[in-house]
Amino acid sequence: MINKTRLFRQSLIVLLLTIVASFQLMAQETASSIELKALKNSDDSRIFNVKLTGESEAGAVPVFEATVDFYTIAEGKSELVGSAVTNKEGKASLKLGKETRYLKSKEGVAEVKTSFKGLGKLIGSEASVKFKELNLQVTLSEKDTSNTIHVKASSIGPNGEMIPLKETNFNLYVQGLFSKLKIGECFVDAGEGTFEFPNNIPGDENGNLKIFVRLEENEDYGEIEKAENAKWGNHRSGFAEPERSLWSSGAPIWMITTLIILLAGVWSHYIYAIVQLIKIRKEDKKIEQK
Amino acid sequence: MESNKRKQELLKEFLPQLEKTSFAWFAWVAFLLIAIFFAIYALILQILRGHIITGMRDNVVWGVYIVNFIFFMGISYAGALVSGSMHLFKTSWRGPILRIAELTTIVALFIGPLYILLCIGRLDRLPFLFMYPRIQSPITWDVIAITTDLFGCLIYLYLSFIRDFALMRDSKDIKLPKWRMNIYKALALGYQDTPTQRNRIKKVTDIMSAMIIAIAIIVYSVLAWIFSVTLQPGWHSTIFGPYFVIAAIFSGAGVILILMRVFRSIYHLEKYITKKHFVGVGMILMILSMFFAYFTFSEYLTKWYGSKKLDDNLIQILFTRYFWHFVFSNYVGTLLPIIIMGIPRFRTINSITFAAVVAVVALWVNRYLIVVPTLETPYMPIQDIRPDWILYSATWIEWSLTFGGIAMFCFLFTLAAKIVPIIPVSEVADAELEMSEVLAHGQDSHEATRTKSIIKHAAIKKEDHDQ
Repeated sequence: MINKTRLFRQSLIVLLLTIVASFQLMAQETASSIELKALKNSDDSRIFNVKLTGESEAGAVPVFEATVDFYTIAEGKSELVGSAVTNKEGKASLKLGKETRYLKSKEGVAEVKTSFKGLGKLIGSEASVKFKELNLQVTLSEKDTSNTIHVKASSIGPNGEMIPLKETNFNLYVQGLFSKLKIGECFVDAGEGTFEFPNNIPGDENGNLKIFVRLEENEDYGEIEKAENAKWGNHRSGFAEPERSLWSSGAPIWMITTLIILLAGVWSHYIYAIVQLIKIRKEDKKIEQK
Repeated sequence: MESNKRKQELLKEFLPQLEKTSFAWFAWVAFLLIAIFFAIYALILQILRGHIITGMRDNVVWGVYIVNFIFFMGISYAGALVSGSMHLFKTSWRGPILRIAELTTIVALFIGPLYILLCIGRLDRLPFLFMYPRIQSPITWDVIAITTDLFGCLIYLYLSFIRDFALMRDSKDIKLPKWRMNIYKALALGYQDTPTQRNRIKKVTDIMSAMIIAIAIIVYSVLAWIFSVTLQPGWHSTIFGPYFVIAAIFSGAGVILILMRVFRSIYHLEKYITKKHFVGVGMILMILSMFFAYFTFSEYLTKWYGSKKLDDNLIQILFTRYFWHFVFSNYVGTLLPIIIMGIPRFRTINSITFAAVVAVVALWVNRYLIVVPTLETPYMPIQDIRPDWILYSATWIEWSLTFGGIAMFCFLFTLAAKIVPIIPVSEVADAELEMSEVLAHGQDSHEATRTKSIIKHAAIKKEDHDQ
């Protein structure tokens, strides 16, 4: 009797422990991670790109159809500027026009925070970027055979005054078919810099090129891009396609010859077989006539 | 006349198979049709919802469909090679096996390419393959090769059937509906078994049997090249052509053995399909399993020794995630036929059939191991993707269509066995006649030799006596 009671108690304790453990397992939450990047465009608008992932045993997994909010924050104040929903790759972006007013610190630094509040067992996360306003001007000039890009950059002080930028490198790109091709760097000091454009960059059929001047991963100003169109492309009609090759539209002669010989050899025997069958049919008719 | 009489006698033995349909036959056909209709239901779902309901994703773009394609095409080529070789080399015991091999060829050839259609996401673009073919593309080679092979096999099959069609047309004992007799009459093409017609059929069949051997080798090599001309780890191999051909004949010989066993039991063909036939085809199976083992070892040894990063990854996957699949397909599947056929005590009809079943399943798994693990080892790094997108696992849709294909194979074979005798009556009767002639000729020549010897001996004796 005593043994039975003990057994019952022990079973009850094991059962309770199992239930508690399963609840703990069920309640296990997963951390999320959010990345935020900002880019200022030629039209002075800004794009905020977000990538939201959740941690799993297999590594980071994209979180899709999740809403992320964007806030402008400064000195304890916070204002919602927009929201976006992540796609299947866990990415979302928000474009804010040049008329958007960002809250700024006394030093003129703006900060944009993105926040994911969490979804089910997925814990929320936040990320932010800071940037100062920068006035960037790009002008293109042609002289004789040389083409030059002039870059003027000045930051805007707390009182709206223009402060020429010092010792900063800008990257120069041209738009390719799939991505941007880096063609060099332009060093800007005392608010100005020049770059001699190479004359061996192919453009489209009319020689048009889209040139980008970019300030990238800058601690103070973030990412800023300015684009200009120029007819500086050294137009080529494309690569001369080899007449016959594995990758061209015309197959190599040996391949065509081999195929024709093989097919002619095989199909001629088929035709011969069919002709023989027709002859058998004809012979039958002759037998019937006799 | 004697030959014709024997053929009619032989045909009479097989007529019940063509004339009578039992309840078991209907039950079997109903079962197959249920499996086929279920597969059609799965296909409709796949068409409506897209390939997302299969296990195939961006990385593993080929799954069990392509495995089934390779498998059925392999069986088909094996049927062609076995029947073509036996006919061409006048194998004395070929008669009862020929029709099974020929039907295997054509039935599998109808089913195999269907799996390619199941793989294609945009079937509406399929006509472009014929409208704008690129000769450099292995896919174009395969389309040309399969079409050519299909025509060749149809002609060869028809040639082997024509004499039996004529027999059935002329049979007075046959009790079949008129429409069926009219079909036999049309298909017999007026064959009257005259010496000229007989010679024509013999000549064309000889030519076509040689042709289909060559075509089968080329076509299956082309299928192998679809894989080996890519730079994928596990596929980019110079021996893939012969390796595929050997694997094809290996699996096909297994299927022929299974069908021989099935038809022997159902139609009580113990008199025609004897242990000798099982041992004969079993020996082919054993030799092919040895070749297959040799090719497999050679393939993986060179890859392992080369230690290229992706080859190493692939071998690592094969010996971890797919360990038991690998052991079954490459060890059990090859060793079992060798052991059973190698030890005379084990060579019974049932054990040979068992070895064939194991070999066929092992070969299917082997094709799976060629296709899937390689696609799970891509060149481009995979990041931020769900594991179920990287790893392949077939869904019930794919399994339904796989079993549907097997059911279709059995269904077509069952129908074919209702249309023509499963044993080529004319071929067997001719072989019997040839054998009796050889024996008779052999006795005559023996008598003649004996007489000559007696005369010579007597002459020598006379000379001795004269001296």
